[in-house]
Order: sequence, then C-alpha cells, then structure tokens
Amino acid sequence: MSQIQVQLDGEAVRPGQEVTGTVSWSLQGRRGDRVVIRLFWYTQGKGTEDLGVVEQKTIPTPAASSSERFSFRAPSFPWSYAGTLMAITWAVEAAVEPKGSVDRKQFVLGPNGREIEGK
Amino acid sequence: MTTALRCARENPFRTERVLAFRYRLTADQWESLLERFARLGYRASLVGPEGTGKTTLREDVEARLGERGWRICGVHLCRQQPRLSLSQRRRIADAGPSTLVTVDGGEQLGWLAWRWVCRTTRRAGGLLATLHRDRGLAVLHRHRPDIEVLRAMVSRLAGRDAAVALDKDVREMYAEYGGNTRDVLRALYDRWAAGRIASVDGGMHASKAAVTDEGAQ
Repeated sequence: MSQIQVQLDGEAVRPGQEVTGTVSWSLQGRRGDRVVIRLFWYTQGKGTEDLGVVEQKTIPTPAASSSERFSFRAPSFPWSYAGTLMAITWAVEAAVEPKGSVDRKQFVLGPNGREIEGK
Repeated sequence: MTTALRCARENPFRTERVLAFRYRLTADQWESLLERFARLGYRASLVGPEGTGKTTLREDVEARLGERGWRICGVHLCRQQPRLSLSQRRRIADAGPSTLVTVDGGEQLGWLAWRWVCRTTRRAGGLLATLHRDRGLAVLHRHRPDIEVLRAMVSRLAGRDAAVALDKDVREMYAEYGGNTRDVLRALYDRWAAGRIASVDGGMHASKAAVTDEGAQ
C-alpha cells in the first residue's frame, strides 16, 4: 500500500504568512497515481460541516519514493476558532490519488499565531 | 483549561462522529436489499419518521450503486427549501438510464410536484426517495424509531460509563422527541457543551463505526 506523510515546519502561522513543510511518499507503482497537497480549513461541531480548500498543488507523475517541499500563503480568514457550537481548524493534507493513502497535519492560523477561543 | 473541555472539537456528539455511524448490514443483507431494489425496478422509497436513519441508508445505497457504475443525481428538500428549484428540475429531467435520482425529503413536495418527479424519472435509471409516509412508491425499507439503536450510539460516542449514567435521561429525551434519534443526539451535544455530562471515557474515533447489528435495521 502507498504511504504518504506530511510534516509542517511550524504549528502556527499569522494571516498572510507562509505555511511550509515537506511531503514524503512511497508509492505502489500504480499507473496514474498522483500526489495532491491541499491547504484547507474545516468546521467541526453541532451543525452541518463545512470545508474550504484554499489552495492545491498536484504532482502528476511522482517518483516511486521521494519527498518534496511545499509552501502555501495563508489567507487572512477564517481564523482558527474553538467554540462550543463550532470549531474551525486549518490543515495541510497530502493524498495519493486516486484511492491512496492520506495524511493530514493541523496548524493554527490567527493573529499572533493563536487560536480564537469562544465562550 | 475549562474552555478546551467544552470545545466543539472535543464534543463526543459532534456531527462528524454521529455521521460515522452507518448501517451495519452483512454482505448478504446488502445484496438482498439491492436485489429487492432491482426487482422493484429501482423505483422505491425509504419511509419513516424524522431521525430514524432514512438519509443514512439512502447514502449507503447510493455509495454501493455508485461502486457498480451508477451515476447519482441527488436532490435535497427540507422545510426551509420545500420546492424543487429550476436547476434541480433540469437535473432530474436530464437524468438518463444509468442515473439514479434520489430525493431526500420527498414529503416536502406537493402533490403535483411529486407526480412530476415520479413521471419524469421514468426516463432515468431509477428513483429512490425518503418519505415520512407512503406516497404510492414501493417501499424498499420502512424505518421505525428504535431506542436500542440510540442507546448503542450513545455508548459508542460517549463511552460505556457515561452512557450508563445518561441512560435514564436518554430514555426521557427519546420519549420527549418522539423517537427522533437525531434530535436526541443534538440535545446531548448541547448538554455536553454546557458541562452537564460529567465524564466521557474516550468513546470511538471519528472513523467508520456502526450501530449493533440488532439495532441497525
């Protein structure tokens, strides 16, 4: 089975800063496999879940085993938020597509690099 | 940190964990259900009160038919949107023989609109609708409130110890909400968020999980 791993350089960024890290993978060698890296946010909580992919990079013909650096620019909003009805979480996800392994690492996006806490 | 304990991310009754519960049918039971659907010409309904798993089963049927090459044209109706939009009507009208049209919330449609859906989808590969009551379409599965399903879900979500402590309240809420499992789970979400549920002993991860076989149907 293919394997993929995401490592982030940091745990928190401010709006507008770079989100950087490394993706490492080891593929089964299936034809058509590609590596996709996404910067996105998603909600968790009581209501309907929501998700927003801010940016995506694709490596269409990845080597069987390799690693690659990535860099995304974090947008201004939404900020990471921890409330009782809803939480907003930011993450970078790397996936072997189609139907391959997935790895995701969370980080905090907010002013001063800190999550907003609701009451 | 008090706030972290109340955070939505930690709430055992949050949406992603509840949605992870699927119908746990054996391979033979699934095959039997899909064969029955085929015998009905792929035109049938899932009938039952609110919060009894109709949407969950509809999604699981869609997934299995999707694996067999079916295209899915899904329409969602609710009290806030009880009418078919123009784009939804177009999508239904354009659905061909390899497409299953699914209508979630078919009870929202008036008589004329329902007739239009039934008539228009004869050109499509099939129709699967969730309904609160029979509307002249064959019934693929009839859903009934089942407190044992709810109790099993609470046990998996909140952990066995917490579920035992909550059991009396769960039974009372089940009666108060008329057997609507979804509404009871939302009420439990609020209780946990307000700190009125004392402890949660881990429960399950937000990955695939299922109610017990006894409670799944």
